[in-house]
Amino acid sequence: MPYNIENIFICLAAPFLIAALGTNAGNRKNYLFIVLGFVCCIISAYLNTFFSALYNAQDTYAVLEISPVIEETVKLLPLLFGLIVFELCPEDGGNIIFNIAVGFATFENICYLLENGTGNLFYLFVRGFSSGAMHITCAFIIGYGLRVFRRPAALRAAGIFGLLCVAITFHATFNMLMKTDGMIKQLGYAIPIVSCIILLLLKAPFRKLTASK
Amino acid sequence: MTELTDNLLQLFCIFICGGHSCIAAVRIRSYNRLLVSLFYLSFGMGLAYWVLYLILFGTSPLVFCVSELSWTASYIFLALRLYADMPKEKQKEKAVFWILPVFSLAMCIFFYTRGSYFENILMGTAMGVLGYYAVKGICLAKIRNRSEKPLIFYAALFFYAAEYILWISSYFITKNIFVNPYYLVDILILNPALILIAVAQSREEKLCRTT
Repeated sequence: MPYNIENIFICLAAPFLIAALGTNAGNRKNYLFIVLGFVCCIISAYLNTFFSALYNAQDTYAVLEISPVIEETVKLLPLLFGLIVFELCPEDGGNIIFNIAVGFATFENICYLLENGTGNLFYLFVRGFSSGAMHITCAFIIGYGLRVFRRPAALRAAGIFGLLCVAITFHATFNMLMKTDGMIKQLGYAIPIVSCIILLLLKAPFRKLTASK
Repeated sequence: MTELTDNLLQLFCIFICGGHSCIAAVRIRSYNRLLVSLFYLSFGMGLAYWVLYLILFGTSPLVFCVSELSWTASYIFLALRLYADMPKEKQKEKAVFWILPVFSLAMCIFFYTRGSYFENILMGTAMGVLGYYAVKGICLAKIRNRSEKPLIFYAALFFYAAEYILWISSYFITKNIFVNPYYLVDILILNPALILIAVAQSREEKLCRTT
């Protein structure tokens, strides 16, 4: 079914933007960064189309080798802007990247629903959780990195770039497993959720480790 | 089949070393250990992507190599690990520190004839920085007459050499047979280099605890 992502964006972003006007500063930031996640998703869609045409990549190769690089990089750009211009602390940076990831995953899921329909509830349930968990895991990776690599600026830049590369590889591996069938695909659905749980369990030890640094 | 066997063996090595590093990082709350764990994690993820691609599609990546980004990240994390052991006061720069970055630059230009500019620049820069800190760490330890050898710097230097030997060997012979120097170097030099990094890190922590 053909659809127009700009129109979907306006429809989705409007309630968030109106709510942002009438709420306190903390919530306002969250709403705005979720909307920024929607914007990142649209920009990624444009860039994916452009680079796929540039490299003459077929559908599968574009999904495996181009879109993970573009999507993760675009998601990181608002955070980089905040870190450079506003010198955000790691906690604020972590919140921003999470909100952007949530907005991105929501918008991507809506586009997926419009394209593939809403018939199979079980499949959508599994797909929604796993692709959502994949974006959240990538946000976790960057969010943890902000705590590890604090000062000096060069070390922080190198560390964040390294973690961006790790997030890209994770995303690409997930996309690759989604392109298969049967048992491997089911394993692919489980990987982001399991990774998310492991990272959540590691949160407390990790906090102690970075605090002892 | 040969490439797959070689890669699976390497993945096993990385899994053991990475798992050990990760557990040690959580147990002893060591920042240096965390960086070594990140090194193994990113190297392993790059390799896992490559192996999965080979298994599922029967070929290596065609448009853009995501694995190379992950491997570049692993060199960055190893360089950051070496940087963590650098003395914080300002040191006088010596020409010898720049030997490996210059070598990396020369190799980067050489590899331009095959492969993409972007990937060559990324990997060349990361390897240059890694080589710089490895040589600097060894030289500074010698100047300061440290009684114990800075093993992690030697291990990083060995890894640096192993990677370049591997890339050079793959440049000239591309036949997919077991006696191809690429596979021999990968199994007999790069795998020990990967293990040596974990061993050197463990040894440094042991020395830190005893002194």
